[in-house]
Parts: sequence; C-alpha cells; structure tokens
Amino acid sequence: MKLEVDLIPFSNISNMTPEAKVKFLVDKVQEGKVIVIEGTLEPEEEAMLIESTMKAVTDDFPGIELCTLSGDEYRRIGILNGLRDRLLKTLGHRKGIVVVGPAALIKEVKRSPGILSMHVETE
Amino acid sequence: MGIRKSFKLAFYRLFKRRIDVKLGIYGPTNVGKTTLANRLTEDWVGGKMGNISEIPHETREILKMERMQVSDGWKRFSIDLIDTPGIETKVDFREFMKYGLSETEAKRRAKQATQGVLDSIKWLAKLDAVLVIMDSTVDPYTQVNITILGNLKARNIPTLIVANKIDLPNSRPDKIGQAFPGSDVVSISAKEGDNINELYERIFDMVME
Repeated sequence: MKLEVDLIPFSNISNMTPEAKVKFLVDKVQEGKVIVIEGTLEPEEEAMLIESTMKAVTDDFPGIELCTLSGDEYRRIGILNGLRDRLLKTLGHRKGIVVVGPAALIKEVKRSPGILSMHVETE
Repeated sequence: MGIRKSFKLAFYRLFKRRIDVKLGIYGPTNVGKTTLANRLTEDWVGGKMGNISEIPHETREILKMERMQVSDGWKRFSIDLIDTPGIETKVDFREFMKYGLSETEAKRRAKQATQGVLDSIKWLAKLDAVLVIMDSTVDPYTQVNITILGNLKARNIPTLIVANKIDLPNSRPDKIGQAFPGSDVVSISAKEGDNINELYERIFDMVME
C-alpha cells in the first residue's frame, strides 16, 4: 500500500463552513490519504469530525487517527507569546498542526508538547 | 469559597431548595466509566447501572439513572446520572474478535459502538456538569481527552477530571494534572472505593458553582 500525504495550508479551508471542512477531511481520509493542515480545528469541529467518521465506519474503513497540536501547546513551550497568538487568531490564523489519517494505516500517534509522532504501517 | 457560592449555599440552606443536576460521565473506552457509575448509584441509591467488561465498548448506549435523591448533610440534590459510551475515533470489528467474539458478533458490536459514540457526543449539549474519567495507568495526553475537554470548555460546562485506577501499581495520577494544567483533578479507584468521599465532596462543590 502506498502512503500519500497532503499538506494543506489553513487558508485553503479557512473559509469553509465547519460541515464542509469536516466533509473535506473525511472524504480525503476515506481515499486513504493522510492530511496535514497548518492550523487548528475548533473543539466543536473535532467533535463533528468524530461524528462524521462514526457515520462512515465500515468493515474496510474503521475510522481515523486524529491529532492536533494547538497554538496553546506552542505557547507552553515558548514559541509564541500570548499577545502574538491573540493577534494571529483575531486575523483568522489558527496556529498549530492537525494530522488526520486512516486508522487502518496509522497505527499509533504519540504526542508530547511540541511534537507529534506517527507510526504508519503499509502492507 | 467564593462570595457567589457562599450566597448560593446560604440561599439553599435557608429555603431547603433542591438542586437538580444532569451529571454526565465521559471518557475514552475502558477507563472505568461504568465502574464509577455503579459505585455512585450503589452508594447513593443502591443498585447498579450497567455491566462492565474488559472488552472495549461494553457500554454501547446511554445509561441513565434519573432523579437520585442525594444529600451532603446540608443540601438536597436530585441527580440524573448519565453514563455514556466511550468516545473513540475508530471502531474496528477485528479488535473485538481478539477477545473471542465471532465475526458476526464483532460486527454487530462495532455497529452499536459507532452509534454509541454518536449518542455520547449528542448528549454533551444536554448536561449541567461532567466527570471526565481517565485511566491513570496510561498516557492521558490523548486526542480523545483533549477533544472532550475542549468541547466541555467551549460549552462552559463545569468539569471535574477523575484520575481512576489509583489502586494499580503503575498508576500515575500526577501525569494527568501535568497534561491538563488548570483543570480540577481528583484521584480515585472506582473499583476499590479509594478516595471516593473526596470525589463526592468535589461533585457537590462542582454542581453548586
């Protein structure tokens, strides 16, 4: 199985409604792609993504691995200060990283402040 | 104790008004949600809420124990306890087969489990306060825990993190506090009843806020 990773700037999805954003992600992941977004999802969008995933679960598509690293976590390790973070958020830029991929492919995601590690298995 | 809470407490003591609360129990699978729900109902009104099992997704539908009349000695509470199916981002029927379930049983369980996750998320909007249960023997810094806490915060729902399984030798409840700084955390063993009275006090404090 080949591994395909799409790196997507947040500006590509920032104007989408939460529903459209979630559909975009689930459709891509169902195609077997790993999506990396430069930005973050709102908590409600994460919940919607889990809901949409559960509705899409089949024998061949068991779900997703989702991992988000938010601006808060960057700030905790000192990369952004609060003022800059608030300014970026006001301008519509959500600092962070989101990784979404098929659970059949991504076997494990480990996270610690500032680092996401993925264990991917392809047959 | 804050001024607002002191006034509220005085009001309830004066008029002996009952406090009605919908209290939810949330968390990933196999962290001890139903074990805790059973502990609460046994101690407060007698009787169990649901079955427990080592197989993930044993609780696949919302369990409710309504109008439990509880008192802390001063105030009277009417608590609707809502035990929810574990939230996960994946449900693979093959995982259930590792526990000896047939393929047919495993697929049925998986289908019910996905519906259970949907119901859990739907119920988030209906609750007054939530206990988020975490297994203190594993890394708490998971996406499911982050998503649950983020959604509760976004909805301004009072939340108490319960670090469960402190009876086990590899328990590290301190890691939960470190992973979620600023959150209220209480450490217990739902199975053995360790520190359970502190949990009850913290629940009563939380619903008074």
